[in-house]
Amino acid sequence: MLRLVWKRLLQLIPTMLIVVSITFVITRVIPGDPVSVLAGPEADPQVIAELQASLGLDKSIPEQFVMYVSDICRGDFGTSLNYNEPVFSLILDRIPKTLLITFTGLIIALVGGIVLGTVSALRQNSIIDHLCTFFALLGASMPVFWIAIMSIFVFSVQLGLLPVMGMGSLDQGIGDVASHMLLPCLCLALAPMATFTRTTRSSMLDTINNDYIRALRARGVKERRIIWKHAFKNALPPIISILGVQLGISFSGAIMTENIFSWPGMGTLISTAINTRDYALVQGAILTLAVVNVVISLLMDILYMLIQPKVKI
Amino acid sequence: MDKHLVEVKNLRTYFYTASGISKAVDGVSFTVDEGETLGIVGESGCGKSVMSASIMRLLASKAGKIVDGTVHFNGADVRALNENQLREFRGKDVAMIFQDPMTTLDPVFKIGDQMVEAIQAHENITKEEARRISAEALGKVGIPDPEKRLNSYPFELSGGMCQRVAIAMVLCGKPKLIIADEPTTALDVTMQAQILKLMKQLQTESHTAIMLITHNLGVVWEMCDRVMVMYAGRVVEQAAVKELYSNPMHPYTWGLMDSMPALNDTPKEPMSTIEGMPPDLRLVGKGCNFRDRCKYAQPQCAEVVPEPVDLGNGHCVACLLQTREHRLEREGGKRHG
Repeated sequence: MLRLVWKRLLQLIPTMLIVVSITFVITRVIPGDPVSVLAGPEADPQVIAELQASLGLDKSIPEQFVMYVSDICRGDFGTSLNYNEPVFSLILDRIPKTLLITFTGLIIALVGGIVLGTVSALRQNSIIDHLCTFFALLGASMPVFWIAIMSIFVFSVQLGLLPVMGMGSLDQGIGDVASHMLLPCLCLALAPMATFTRTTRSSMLDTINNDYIRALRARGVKERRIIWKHAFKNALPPIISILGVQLGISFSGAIMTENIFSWPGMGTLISTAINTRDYALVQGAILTLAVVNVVISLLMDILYMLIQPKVKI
Repeated sequence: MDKHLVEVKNLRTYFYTASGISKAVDGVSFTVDEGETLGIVGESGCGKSVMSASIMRLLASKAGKIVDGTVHFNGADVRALNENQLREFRGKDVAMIFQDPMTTLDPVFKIGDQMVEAIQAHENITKEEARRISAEALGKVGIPDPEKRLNSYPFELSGGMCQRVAIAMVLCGKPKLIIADEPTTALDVTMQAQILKLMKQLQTESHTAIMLITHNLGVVWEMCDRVMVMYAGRVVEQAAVKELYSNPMHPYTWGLMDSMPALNDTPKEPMSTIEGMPPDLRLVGKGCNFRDRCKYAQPQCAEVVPEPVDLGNGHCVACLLQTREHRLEREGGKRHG
């Protein structure tokens, strides 16, 4: 177990190096640069040159890369040009807010998907089963941005039930934040919930037709215990793998959702950074997401080992 | 009239499939007494397993339904049991041993936990007490170091060991009847002999009745008091073991006996087989199911369903040509017994 954790943490180094290189190259390749954004379209060439020199952008690209990497190694992620704040503290401020909606959304999706999937597996080919399958198809085929805009239109604009945008403020009570969270979380939950429903259904169907389930019934064990303890634990591995994948996807899903709902998380941070060519911020934010992804997949592997005694890494 | 432990009358279990009704068990009647071992033989797909599943109301597929007949256990109507009574009935009154020991234990839970669960399903005792009983049962079925084995996962044990665990679990419930559905088919020959010996020994100790489903006639001879031969969902012959082996009467039983290899077989001569295939269970219904493969078949065999007739000493045969007045002359055939 400990060896696995060490091995994974070591693997983090090359992963981060690759992520840093790719984001570095991409930010330099896309047209436009922070100086022209800062100085405006009609700036004096003299000013531009000075700005470039002060930001170190007058050096060659390989030189800039070496400088950036050595800064990161010393724990310095640079300063955001747009916000004029250290990148690191910006990210620290935003990451909990993104985790709040992605995790809440995923928990809703996971619980909902497992319940729907199990119910439809237990009542295979019933009306409930067909409804769940239909829902899963619907959830998988509707794009997040469309759902998000439609839900704002219906619940916030037409019905006026929920706030349109922002995060609200804790000063006005948890209820304010919760009402702001509701729509983004549901939008984030919909697609993964559909996936969880389908995975749980097929995995449960595979499991409940096994001999050991029949043997448990033959021993007179309670049906609820058979399904939720034995069948569920055996059906869990594919659901866990999907959970790992969905966690990764949900961050990219959050970029879209956060922008539509103006949620002040990593998603809006990254898109603003990209639009203003805020090099240091883009690189720092993407590096952070990469680290989060690696940590998640490590946690998934540990979870796997805990539920599958046969798996020893 | 003496009480039978199990009394099955005219049991019919049909499977409703897209391509028709498959009559897996089609009017089976028999009894099992306390402490008795009933062997059930027949080729694959003749309804042996479906019949035993029907008795426990454990049909795996939702398409399968008991459509007719009665099953009485100790005088109680099994078909009328509700969910809770059924749960009590399973494991405590009747226990089952399955064919493949490696797949009858849940792979992700420790053996001890599964045994404790099975015991606690019926008895209101503490976990420690249940573990003690489990360890004792494991010791009884010859598993070395039972305390330690309670903490093993099923995949850490061999097939024979798993079957011993399954038997130990059955023992904990102290059932009056054990249904063993081909308990040794998945094991190698030496392990088969050990498991059968173990079952026999435990039966004498606790006076349990056993329904032994097998297609091994040798096993039946070793283990059983009475035998029931099934073919295509029906019972074709039923008798005490010695009676059946010395004086088989149904043409299908003759075929089975002839296809058993014997020590005095002529070398290099091909073994005798029953020609043809069992009928499609969706198409049977009229006449004798064996008629197409029977070399004695008469025109009437296609018209009338043969009912089991007692030809004396509890030897029942379901064949139109074997009656009290008239007997068939057996052609060829080896002697066994």
